[in-house]
Amino acid sequence: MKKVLAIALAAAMVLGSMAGCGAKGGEGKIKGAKIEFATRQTGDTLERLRTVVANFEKESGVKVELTEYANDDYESALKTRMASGELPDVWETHGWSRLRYGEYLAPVNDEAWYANENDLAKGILTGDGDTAYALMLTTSVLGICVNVTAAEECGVDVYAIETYDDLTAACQKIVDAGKVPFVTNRSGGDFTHVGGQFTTYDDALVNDAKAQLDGTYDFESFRAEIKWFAELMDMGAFWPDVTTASDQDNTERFAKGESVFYFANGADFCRNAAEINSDNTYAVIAFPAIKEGAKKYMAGGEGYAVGAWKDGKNLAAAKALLAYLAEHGGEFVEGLSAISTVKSVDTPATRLSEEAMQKYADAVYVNMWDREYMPSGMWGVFGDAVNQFYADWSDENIESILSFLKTNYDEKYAAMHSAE
Amino acid sequence: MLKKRKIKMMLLTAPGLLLIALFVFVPLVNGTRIAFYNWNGYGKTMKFIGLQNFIDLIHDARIGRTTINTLIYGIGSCVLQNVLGLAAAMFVNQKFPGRNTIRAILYMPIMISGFVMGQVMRYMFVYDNGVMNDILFYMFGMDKINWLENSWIGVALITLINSWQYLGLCMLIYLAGLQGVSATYKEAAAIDGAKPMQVFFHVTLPLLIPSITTAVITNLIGGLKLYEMVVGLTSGGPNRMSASLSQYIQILYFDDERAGYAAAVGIFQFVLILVLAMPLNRYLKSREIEA
Repeated sequence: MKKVLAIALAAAMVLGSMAGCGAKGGEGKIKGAKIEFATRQTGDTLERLRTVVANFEKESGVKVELTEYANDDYESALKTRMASGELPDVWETHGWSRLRYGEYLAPVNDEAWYANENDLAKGILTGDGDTAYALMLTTSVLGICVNVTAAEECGVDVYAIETYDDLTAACQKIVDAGKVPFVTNRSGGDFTHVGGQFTTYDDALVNDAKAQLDGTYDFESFRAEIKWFAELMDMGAFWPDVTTASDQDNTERFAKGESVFYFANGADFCRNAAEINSDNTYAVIAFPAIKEGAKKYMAGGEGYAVGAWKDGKNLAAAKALLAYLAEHGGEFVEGLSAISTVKSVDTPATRLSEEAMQKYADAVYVNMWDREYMPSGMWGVFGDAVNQFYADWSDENIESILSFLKTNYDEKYAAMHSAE
Repeated sequence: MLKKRKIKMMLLTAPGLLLIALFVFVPLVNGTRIAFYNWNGYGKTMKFIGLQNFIDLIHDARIGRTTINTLIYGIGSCVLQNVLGLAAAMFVNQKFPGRNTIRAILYMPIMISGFVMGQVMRYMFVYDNGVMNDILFYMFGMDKINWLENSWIGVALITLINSWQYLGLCMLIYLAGLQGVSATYKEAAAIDGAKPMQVFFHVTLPLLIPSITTAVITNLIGGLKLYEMVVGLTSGGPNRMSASLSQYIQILYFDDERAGYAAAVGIFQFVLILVLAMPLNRYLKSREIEA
């Protein structure tokens, strides 16, 4: 009897291992699989995401453990998990599907839903190469958030702003009217999102694109952008507590009409302001032309994007979740105030981002400049530089900031390319 | 019999030693290893660069200010907590109605996390709608002050608030010490004509040295590793000028993606704590007397 049992067990083990061979790597049957999905969504969008995930669980039989990180902790948590080699099966890539997470994510080009991504999304997802690593449900469209009502009170027609000179003049009008033109969260985006207009694109003040990409950029051309910010600082275009104001301060000041612009931000900021004060009209306008004859720009990039861990034990289930989101993510996308990039996801065409895109149909939509032309890790460096600048915008400190940017760029470029 | 007892004692300490090895020794060794590499903190490639991170540390323009901040947080908090904690302990060691309530009130702030305390206090000092500015404006008609713009004010606030928050812990340590001081010594000194201050400095204080050792070393190390309060109150700003070494390490590792250099700064912090805490501990131990 024992012999029979032993043979039966051995046969079962062999059959089991053969069944395992049928699955490529971690891809196997998905029913009953358990996967982890890391998200940084909060509030309404988190609720919407939970609903989509619950529906997926019902339909697929896959158990999804939604790990909810606070937005501020998300990047640190993911970096720690990359370092430890214990990544979630699916996670949100927040603009970094290629540069930061690419080596950990499974390519998605062969997924059926990938054909439905629009060209803008495909361009952002693949960059210079051919491989995409994430499902992109929305694109973020960044320009200048405007409290239109407050601008009108100051006699400023925001839609008449064509060039940076016009924007500077509008700021002076706003200061003269007793308001403060800008609020800012002092992120790296203050410097990076328009970096291309000053230093990179075809119609930029100086075209240093090649140098930026081959590691020889000296940041000399970046001086013009920082000088423009210094001009605004001298004018009083930022709040006296610009170095310490919190996100909440910024949103309230903008919503109350005490400030008119939020530089380099998207419709979600306007949505937050509208929740505080819905009496005002808000809009997103394009970054003005850097000079006469140049084009206006809007920075695009990964909006809501998710990828699957290529070494995950349940890769097939993770990919099934991506496919489900691609097809049934509409309700969720609806809550993101952003533009859907997947043709199968239908959202109403009434949101601010879409209005902005329609209004600025002639503007150039580009991927976020730092994601394309700067090595990974520079976002934090630019954030540091922005904070240094707001604390001291003297010529001497501007030189010090340029040197700081150059040193870090060299280090990070070398680190990034030594890994290749 | 003695050998059996020794084995028993070793078995009892084994779990503790194992945990220390796992959560202190292994990370320390690994952190030291990382300090010799150029690594972004998450990538699969690490490049050995020898002592370069330590050389960078010497030339880092921020390390000086961050170290000064850390010393202020460590030494400042330690002095304030111990002086005020001892005073509070002596006060609540007396018999009077409501003393238990006062003990509880003084101890209560410890129950709140340092980060939350920092956030709460931030609302006292923010520019717009901050409590301090509202008081200045509505009561005295004064202009608003951007308190946190001056990094030294930020450092001072962090030190004061941290001291106040952990004052209760010192109070408890000293209270336990005071209750262990036999009244007969004080009575004998009083009979010999010693005045209350003389009794305190020549009888009570020397007998409190073991408590002082515990409180001073605990507070010093806690202050030198301060992180939560800094993040909650100033986020290290403006321009990273109120950052502590602990927060600087976090910024270097996660924001700047310089994990190797962050590890080198971590080792520097470890040595700094060691250099300050060990001689002080030895000195205080040498002053302990048998009661």
